[in-house]
Amino acid sequence: MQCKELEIVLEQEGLAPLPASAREHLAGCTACQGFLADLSSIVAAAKTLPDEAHPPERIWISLRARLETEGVIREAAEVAGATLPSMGWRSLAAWFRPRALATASAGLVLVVTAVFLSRQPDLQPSPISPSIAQNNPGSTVSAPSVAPSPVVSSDSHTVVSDPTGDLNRTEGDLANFHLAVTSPVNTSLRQDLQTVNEFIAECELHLKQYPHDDVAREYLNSAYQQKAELLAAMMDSGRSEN
Amino acid sequence: MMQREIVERGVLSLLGAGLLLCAAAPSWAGKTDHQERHFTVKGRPLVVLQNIVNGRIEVKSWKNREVVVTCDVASSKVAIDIEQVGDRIDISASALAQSAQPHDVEANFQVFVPEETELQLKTQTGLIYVEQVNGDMKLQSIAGDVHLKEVSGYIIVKTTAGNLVCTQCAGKLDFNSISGSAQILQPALSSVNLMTTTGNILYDGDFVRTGLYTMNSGRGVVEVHFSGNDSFDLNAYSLLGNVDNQASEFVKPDTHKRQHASSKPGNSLIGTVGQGLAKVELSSYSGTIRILKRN
Amino acid sequence: MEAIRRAQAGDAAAFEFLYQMHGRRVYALCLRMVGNPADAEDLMQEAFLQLFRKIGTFRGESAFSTWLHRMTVNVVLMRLRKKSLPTDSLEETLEPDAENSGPKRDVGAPDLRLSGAVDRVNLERSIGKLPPGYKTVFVLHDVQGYEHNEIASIMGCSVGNSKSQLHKARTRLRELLQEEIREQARQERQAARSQSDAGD
Repeated sequence: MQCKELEIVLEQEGLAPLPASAREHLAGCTACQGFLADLSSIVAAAKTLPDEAHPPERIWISLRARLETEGVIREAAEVAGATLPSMGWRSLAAWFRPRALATASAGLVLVVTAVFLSRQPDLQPSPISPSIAQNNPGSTVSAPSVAPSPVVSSDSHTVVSDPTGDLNRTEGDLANFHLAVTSPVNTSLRQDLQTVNEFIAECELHLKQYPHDDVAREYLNSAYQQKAELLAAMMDSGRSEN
Repeated sequence: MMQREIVERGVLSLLGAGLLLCAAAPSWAGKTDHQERHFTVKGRPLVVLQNIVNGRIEVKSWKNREVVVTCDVASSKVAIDIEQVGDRIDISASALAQSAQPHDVEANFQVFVPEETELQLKTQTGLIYVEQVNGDMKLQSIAGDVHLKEVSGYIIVKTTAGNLVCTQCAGKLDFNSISGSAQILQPALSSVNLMTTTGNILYDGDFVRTGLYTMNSGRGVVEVHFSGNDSFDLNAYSLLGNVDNQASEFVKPDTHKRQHASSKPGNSLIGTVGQGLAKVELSSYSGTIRILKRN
Repeated sequence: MEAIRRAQAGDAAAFEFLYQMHGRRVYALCLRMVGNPADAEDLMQEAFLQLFRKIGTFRGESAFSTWLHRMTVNVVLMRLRKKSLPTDSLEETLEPDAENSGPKRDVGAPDLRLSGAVDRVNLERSIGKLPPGYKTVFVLHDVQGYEHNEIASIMGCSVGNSKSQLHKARTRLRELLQEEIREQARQERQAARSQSDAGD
């Protein structure tokens, strides 16, 4: 690989992990090493820049007046200059409709996944049903049906939260929105959710025996990501149908 | 005179009844609505089509500097919006009535575009078909299949259950699915990244020099057919399944002195075909990996 | 989504909620694009006006923030065009790039390393000097954290184009930062020379 080819790779792939041929070239080219290091420094510095800035209050006041004049705002606020905190807890509670809960739940799936995977090698396995433990890894494994249970850390014997339980609850909440709708799309989404759940269960079972198996962990990571995207698609589908 | 009046009244009644029938006919017949729109474009257009309802999307290229969108809609319960801003054309189809039956909310699109066009297509259950278009494309489907023929560019395909069939495609390909399978036939792709949880993968084609090919299936079969002219490093690994090397006379043991992770469980095959100019990584969690040479 | 639905019905509180939720990021984007608060305030107000006037047409097929940012970028670029900035730089960064467009790196030439010298003041100043198209992609991706598919939707370009423009923006920033370092070094040398002359 030549310097120009490396530049093409950087243009197409960004600073993501580079292919072996690019890494080989970098090992022997100080100019390209410097170039890549500089770009990385720029990106790192850019991340520290504030992505928000506070606009003056007068902008909203002027904007609101225009919108009222044009009739876009049809209801006058009860309190002049009402801001979000003054809407009250009752109004906030009204925001937590099922779809908003589903949105938050899908985000929770991703956060919980990250926490679960980062803690995985240090935790003892949570109790699983004998039928799942006895299944062959290659055969179909149904999604864990045990109730969510706390997991005890082997080091401190303190009770930590159970990510699997959180995911099951999230999924249960979303599944309730689709019970009344039996379109081909939702049927397909439900089938795929079952598929990915079975695969996750298989990977988790394997990782209990081989906690340092990076390949299985990568597959589990991918499956979690697919599940999060699938839940988001189910949410979108529910929104368009409801 | 009286007789004439009676006849006239009778004719008028018949005419009136006929008019009523004609007015009512569209709702009885349930005939589809056909729309066609033409857009002139200057540079490389971007066509964004979101088909929230069911239906097929077909995109083909032609020599004109024009994008033509034709749409057949199953009923009046589907809203079609088409908007052009510069060289960007946005098309969307959505259901007007929440309680509409699936067969009522269907819209089939046929789009003609210049050869150099970017595409962003999204559908739920219908087929996405693209032929002879060059440009970056992002194609998303839930249960519908994606068929690509002679396309080139940076191609991203995401489905949950839909299958991908990619014939004579060039450029870069990313595919991600839960249960969909992928068939890559006669490609000229320099970068391939295929991931499916339970679907199968078939790659039947050449490996471009310095190309990078990664194919992963959780439970499905990963099968690769290569030719005698190919030159690639191979790293095939199945955690719980088998690696079936049906081309052992062509796949030579690793010549680049890479370290083998021989201590990890599973079956692996690491070798080189030709001079090892491309890189091929095949992986399956519990499925079979099969390597064959084409005759 | 609930706020959007209520805003579509004309609810003032819903409009304000959306403004509070997204206004700071929109203002930051406008400020970086035009470089002065007065113009940034005008542009922000114009972007939200357009958004709220058209909120009835939003159907949720993209994220609301993506839709808002698309409108903001359009408003900003239209304003920059009207100010008769060199249109070459705008067209160059929004059209598929030709072979000769974009900053070039001299292969094999001795480079001035930046590491350790990229501070926020220098970087902000250099971002201000970027052509509008490069600036938009860089700010959206590296500062505000949007993904390329979102930027493509915002800017009406392809994912590949977005990646290409981002790389060119970063390369151009590197050149600008190197010039900053050279200029600072030159000034230091001049100051040192003046002091030694004064001492003599």
